[in-house]
Amino acid sequence: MTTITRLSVEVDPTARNLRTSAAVLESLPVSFQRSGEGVADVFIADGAPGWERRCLAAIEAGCRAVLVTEPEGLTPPDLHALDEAAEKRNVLVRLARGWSSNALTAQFSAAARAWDYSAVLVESVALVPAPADFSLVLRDQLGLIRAALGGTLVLDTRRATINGYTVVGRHTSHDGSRPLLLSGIASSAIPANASLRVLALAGRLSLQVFHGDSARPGSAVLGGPEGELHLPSIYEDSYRTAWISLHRALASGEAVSTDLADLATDVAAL
Amino acid sequence: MTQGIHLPGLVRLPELFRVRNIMDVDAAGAAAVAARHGATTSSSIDELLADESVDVVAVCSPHPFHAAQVIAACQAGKRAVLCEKPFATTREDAEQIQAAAKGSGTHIVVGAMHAYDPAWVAASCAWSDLPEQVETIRSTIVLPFNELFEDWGTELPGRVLPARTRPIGDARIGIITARMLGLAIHDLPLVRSFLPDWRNLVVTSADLLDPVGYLVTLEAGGRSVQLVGSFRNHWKPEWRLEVYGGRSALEVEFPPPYVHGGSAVATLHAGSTSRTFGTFPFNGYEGEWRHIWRLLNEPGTQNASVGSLVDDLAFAVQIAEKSGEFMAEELGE
Repeated sequence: MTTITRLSVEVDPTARNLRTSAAVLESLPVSFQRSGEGVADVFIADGAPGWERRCLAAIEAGCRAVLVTEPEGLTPPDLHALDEAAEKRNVLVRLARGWSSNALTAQFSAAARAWDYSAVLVESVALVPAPADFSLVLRDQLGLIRAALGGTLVLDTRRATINGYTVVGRHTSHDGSRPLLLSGIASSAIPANASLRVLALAGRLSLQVFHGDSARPGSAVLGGPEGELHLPSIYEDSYRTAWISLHRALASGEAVSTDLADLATDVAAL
Repeated sequence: MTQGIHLPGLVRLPELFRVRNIMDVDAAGAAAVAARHGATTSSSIDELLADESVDVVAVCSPHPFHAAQVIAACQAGKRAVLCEKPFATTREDAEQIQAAAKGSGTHIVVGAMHAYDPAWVAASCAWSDLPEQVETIRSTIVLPFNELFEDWGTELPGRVLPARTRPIGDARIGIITARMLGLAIHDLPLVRSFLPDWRNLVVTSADLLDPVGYLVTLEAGGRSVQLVGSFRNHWKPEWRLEVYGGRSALEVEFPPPYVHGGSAVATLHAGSTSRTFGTFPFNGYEGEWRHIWRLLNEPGTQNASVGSLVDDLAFAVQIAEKSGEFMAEELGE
């Protein structure tokens, strides 16, 4: 095992990224520090279009890991190509995504695997501020479901509304297939969040997580015949969770990530 | 409905109403119920309507009888009729009710109980321009099978539980139509209040959920409506209406049926401000009866126009028919 206490970081200098990264860096002073001279251990990329070029440059320059916040654009082949390039140089690529990277999503997923009450409907509502790129919202909604429940998603009916969308499809997992209902809504009425609900013959699952830079705790509830289990609140935002995850991965020497492949899966399902 | 909901509700309002007459084609059943209230009995609608001590008639018969019985009550000069939903099964019947009520001056109240829930009523007085900015409406009616809440509200002698087999093939078309008029209809008047262009609705998907349920999506005037309904063997009820606009939103959590556990809780959101209405001490069932009493005793009390009730029915029938048509097309492919 490689012992690492403090990683140097180079931050992709976009306004959004600088603000987000500054907040995370300030909260993780033992694990990370800004790079001085030479190649940083970790390149922190903003996910605005073109991020893959900046990541490739950092990979070729010799960084050990790349973290991309809210990646946009790119097709599955592009993502797989980047994944291969990173793997060839043994560089860890981690994506910080608002909903699927949330620590509660991972805990929910672990708990949901042991929950078996025959799902009959999967539905999700994403509430985002306007204006919104709804193809990205939908992609990230698919990412949340993949991370939380696994299985495969097929989208049948897609309807754009005044400022959002309604999508109907099917979610298939090891125990069968059921209808899938997805909504994306642009509204300033309620704090941005994504919720997921699974109705079952004799139970109910629900998950709600907030925006990636908010430490507001989400909620995760597993219901069955005996009652409901509320998972513990986690006051940590998704972006910070991704940084910590990256640090742990490098510290453990397990420089393996499925994040790019998972994103490719989400994009392919669109 | 009579034994499970209205009679338990009426006895909570002894200062407002007294049960005078119980009508049922099963004379023994009517007598057993009437005896608890010191009421007389009838075995036909004509016999009931001839009872001059009856001011208000509650129509809780099977759906196909509703229209004729409401019209007869109007023609008999009754002061008010509470008719369970749907108050007719065709638009033509509804229009005949409209004509009869206009002629007799009878107040018609349809048992869409959530429209009379005090939390809903309070929120509707406060939601400002929400109806103009609505984008998405979600109606969720996910309940345990009815017997759970029936047993918490009353005792039903000789109850026969319905068969719950999974419909297949063309039977699904009839089932989705029935689900719309049987379960979804509860909150469709509330949904319609946010859909000015409801006459031009398009059903964009329709599916049945196991074991007893539905998922229907539709659009009207660029607004999205999602209807989810399910009865299943799980203890937790979820009866919710969500209305999302660009700047404000409404979330209403309704209580389960049958039991008298207080009103809904309605929350209006706008940015960092939220206003919550409820819990009030009574629910929409009791709200219906309180509304009828005010109609008859407080001059100036506004009632939903029969025309509006006709539109509510037309909206529900349109969704039911188009859901069936959608499913028929899917099955035909």
